[in-house]
Amino acid sequence: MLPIARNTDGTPMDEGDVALEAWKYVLSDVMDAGVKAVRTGEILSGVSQCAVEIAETPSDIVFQIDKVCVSRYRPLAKVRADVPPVLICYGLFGRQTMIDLQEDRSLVRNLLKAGIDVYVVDWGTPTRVDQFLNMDDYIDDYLGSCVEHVVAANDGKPVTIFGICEGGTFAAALAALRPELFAGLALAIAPIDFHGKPEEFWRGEGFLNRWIRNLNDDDIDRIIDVDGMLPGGMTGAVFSSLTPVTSMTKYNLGLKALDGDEAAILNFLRMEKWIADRPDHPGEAARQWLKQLYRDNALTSGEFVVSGRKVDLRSIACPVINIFAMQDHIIPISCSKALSEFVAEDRYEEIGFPGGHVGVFVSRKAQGVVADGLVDWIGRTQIEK
Amino acid sequence: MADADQGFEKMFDIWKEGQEAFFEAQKKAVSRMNEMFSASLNNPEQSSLRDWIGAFDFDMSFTDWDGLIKAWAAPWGSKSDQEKPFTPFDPENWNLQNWQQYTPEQLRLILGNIAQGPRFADMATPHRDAAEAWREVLDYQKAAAEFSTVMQAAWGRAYQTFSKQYSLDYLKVNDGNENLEAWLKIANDELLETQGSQAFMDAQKQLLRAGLAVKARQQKAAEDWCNIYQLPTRTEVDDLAKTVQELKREVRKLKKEIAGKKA
Repeated sequence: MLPIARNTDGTPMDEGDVALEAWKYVLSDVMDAGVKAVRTGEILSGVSQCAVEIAETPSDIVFQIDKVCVSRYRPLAKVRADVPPVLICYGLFGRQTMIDLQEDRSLVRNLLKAGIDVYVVDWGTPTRVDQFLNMDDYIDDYLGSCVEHVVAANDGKPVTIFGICEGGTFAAALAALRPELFAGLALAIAPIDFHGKPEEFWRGEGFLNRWIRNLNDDDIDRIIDVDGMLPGGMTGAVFSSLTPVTSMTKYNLGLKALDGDEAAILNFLRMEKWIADRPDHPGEAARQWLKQLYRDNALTSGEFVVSGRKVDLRSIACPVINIFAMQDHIIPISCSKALSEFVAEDRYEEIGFPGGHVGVFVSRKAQGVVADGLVDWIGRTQIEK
Repeated sequence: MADADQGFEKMFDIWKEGQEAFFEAQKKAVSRMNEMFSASLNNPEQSSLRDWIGAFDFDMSFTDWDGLIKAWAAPWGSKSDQEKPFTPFDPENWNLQNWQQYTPEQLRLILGNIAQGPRFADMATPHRDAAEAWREVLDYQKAAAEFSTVMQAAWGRAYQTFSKQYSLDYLKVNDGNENLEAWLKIANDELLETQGSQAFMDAQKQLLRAGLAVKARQQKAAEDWCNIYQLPTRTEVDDLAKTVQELKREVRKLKKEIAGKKA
């Protein structure tokens, strides 16, 4: 027990006085922080909206079905690698622009530089008109049609699908239902076992899983019925609460720490732009996502049904690489790693990235670990026949 | 089922007591004002600002206003609460339920009686809807207070942990940024621990349910408004969207079948 702070007459100091005294001692540090904040403020006040652009790598829309588009990226390497094209599929909870945040933090660019032909799915902006779209529509119809298009453009030969987060779950389900389309399946931060292994969770891991399981079916119905959609604002707030102090301090201490570094501030603003652009999730698909997957864990139990067919993950026949984040607050490690139980050992690889959910794509470290690892895996396992 | 009349009667009694106390307070204040103005008119030397203010008997007015508040919240100003010493970082001080448990609970019961009374086809429905809406807002306030209580307790625990681990002497000699980092880490750990607790989960679930109930009520009001002005309601637009969605699904399926046959 530490000694109690006392007044000069020996009486114990009041809690409020102790706090005031402590404040006096940190005043010089507060002043120092103020100077740094002013430096950052100066840069921020000079930044125009157009300086904060994301997803600028040139591409062309090559396929469209309802609001869903597929873009093909223009090559950046002189020689095309002898591997199948890669179709990247993000989830519906955020935007695919995260994989091309800025020139030096872009999965798309890293793949293009390696000579890989890159396609990306854009789900568009679902509105209440799209509230009745369900998992059949998204997995079988939309994603299935996008993959069919890329396969057709590849002379009918199978291609590699890289599914991220919810898009990874979609890709895994489609790979099980239509294995003939897949030359390879790459997943990143994708939930497979939605319950995971709670006994292995570190503090803060698996909150989302517990939170959703604490709701009953009526709660989930009410959330979705009120808006017809799962509001992006709500999912954004839940994601922010997973890292409480970071979320509370990023606009004060976080900005102060940037200390007027223009490149770092622009990077920060690009991330903010991406975070703020969180679409609403179509209601019926969200209902299935929360009830059948998060609550009932139907994918691993083999009870998840898409277009009338049960998804059996053991039907995945292509090489698989599974990338997960070691400090992922959103998707617990055990929820992603569970895929290993369904794929033959000689066709399954993993990369455990030392970072958080989004850090897998936007951190400086990820450019080497994840992008290089993926390119290496594609090169080793998927030489185009 | 509660008797609707009983609920209205209770509500009326509360309003009546409140109104009486209010008028009593007003009457005395106005009476003092009249005395002051008549004195000023008769004696111009007494018309300074100080005399004007002094003419009000604040003690007497407070007593009357106190009566008004007590009509709404019986335990207002109980001695045990007032005499309890205030320690700024005691989590119990931030328990909002201690501040908000009186009138809303009384009102909630009354509103419940009104809303649950016997319903007739066309009579008094707007009153009952209004009572339901009011009660749902109170439920939301209560849920928000309970959720805040859980969070404030977490912050209180974080402060207590920090103050046990870091003395004032330590803070004096150590780097301020390190101290801040230490505080943030303790706060983050405590918040994560709290978020994982069943108390947090349940409080947040109640807040979510109460918030959704208020939102659903607002939407019902919007639908009623649309009906009055013969505008399409959200339900009707949703029905149309569903029909269009089903038709589009059918068209996509047929297109695939045709493409398959051509191939």
